[in-house]
Amino acid sequence: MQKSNSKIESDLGTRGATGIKTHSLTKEFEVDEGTEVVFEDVNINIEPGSFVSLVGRSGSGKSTLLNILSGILEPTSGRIEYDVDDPEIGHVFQSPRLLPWDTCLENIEYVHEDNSNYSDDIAKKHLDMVGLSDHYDKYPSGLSGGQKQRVGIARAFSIDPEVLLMDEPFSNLDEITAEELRKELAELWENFNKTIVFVTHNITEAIQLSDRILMIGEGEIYADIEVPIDRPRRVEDNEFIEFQTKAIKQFRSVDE
Amino acid sequence: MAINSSDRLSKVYNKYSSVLNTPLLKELKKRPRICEFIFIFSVWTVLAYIFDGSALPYPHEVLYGTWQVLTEGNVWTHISYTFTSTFIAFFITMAIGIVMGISMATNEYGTKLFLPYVVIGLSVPAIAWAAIATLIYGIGIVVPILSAILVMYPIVALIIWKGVEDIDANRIQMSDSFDISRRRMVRRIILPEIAPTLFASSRYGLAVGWKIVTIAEIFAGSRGIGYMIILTFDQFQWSRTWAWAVIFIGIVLFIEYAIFQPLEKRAYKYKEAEMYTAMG
Repeated sequence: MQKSNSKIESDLGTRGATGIKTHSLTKEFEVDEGTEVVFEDVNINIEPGSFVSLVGRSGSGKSTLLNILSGILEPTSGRIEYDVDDPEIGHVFQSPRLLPWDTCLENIEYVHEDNSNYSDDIAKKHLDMVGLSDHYDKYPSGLSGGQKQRVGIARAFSIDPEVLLMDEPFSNLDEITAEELRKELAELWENFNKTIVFVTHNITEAIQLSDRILMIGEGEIYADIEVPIDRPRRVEDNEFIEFQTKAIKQFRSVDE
Repeated sequence: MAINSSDRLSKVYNKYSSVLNTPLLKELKKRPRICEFIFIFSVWTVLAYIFDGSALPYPHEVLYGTWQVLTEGNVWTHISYTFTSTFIAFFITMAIGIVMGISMATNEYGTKLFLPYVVIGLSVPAIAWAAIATLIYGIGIVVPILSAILVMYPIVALIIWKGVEDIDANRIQMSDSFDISRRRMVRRIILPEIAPTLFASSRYGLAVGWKIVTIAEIFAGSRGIGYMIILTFDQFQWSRTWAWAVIFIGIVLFIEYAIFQPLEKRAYKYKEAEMYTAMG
């Protein structure tokens, strides 16, 4: 990805960010044996423009919470409050969910149904932003896993969202590509004023990227920790390792 | 011993390599369709020789017969009659098959409602439908159309059912999360996704449709290619019987190469994209 300059910023991200508050959010699913509570009475307050990670084990309900924030799922009770009315929400999924019969440009154009200002130039600028300037007319089958995820990120940024919801976007990639994309995402977040909620089960990834880590498990947010490390963060730094050790201990505390 | 046979083989190859590598044979290697025609005509000639040219006339006789049939005034009447029956049956079947297939794929009620019809439809032999339709409606255009619909709909419904079931729910969810309208989703996701299913069911529908319509025309026709096949057969004009079969095959091949394949090529353009060949 190319580091965004002010010209690109002014063209691509004008909407800013929104804060998110949840009030007594509860989600239950009906199962054969009765009712299964995914989480109960979740109250979180996410500052506008912050990078927050939701960390939890498989089945802890982190993706369910993300899907409720996005509106894909309805909560059983409770409500969500955004600072702005009807905020624009961008999504990046674990698998990029591109349309294989459309080119990279067309994949971005697809999510601009109601945008009268949309032009191919906007899509091209977003693809440039994620380092895919030579791939405008390529089909996803001609891209690597990392490149496909870059198209997914460009697609989410292209709608100029106030909130970006990312559901384990790098977990299907090899570690070197994932590491590269993490750095680039951190740069994009620093250059564009967006609120990011990032779901992962990888503590190291959460520390590298976030301002704040919310640990979810046993139906509740059992830990809410600030990451006090200066950016850019390097996993090999002592400060990082020390914090990681503490965070992992806290992550495991749910089992005790 | 092995060395000897290998030597013998290489000697044989060297002896005939000049023949195998002639420009004509090299050219033929590149053109499988021409080879196919040569093969068919060779087998045909041999079979005609075996049957003494009576039940199976020689290719040139059939081609002459085809030319005669094509230059006669009534050929298009029969072709258009068979075509009309087949296409009416095809479109009605596709409509029934799409409705049944989508209903069965998307809700349990639909599966319970339509599955018995599919099972019954599949288990009754095609010839039985043609006979039953003839008993009920006598001679006329209804028989070939009805027979073809009854034979085709269960398979078309079955193919579409399985095709729609395989639609990737993740892409629908992605579209929902970006607030994409149903109309755009159908055009940009559902249709391309079920395109292979639609092609498969249309191909199958037409292929079976032709056969059933022709069989029904043989049973209860007063016009059409099937009727002409049985008429010329009864009059012992076997080269003409074969000529009508050749015309029929020509039309089916024309539809395959002039309609289905270009459409398919257009729909699957994205599959031709070069696969990424990353190291490791």
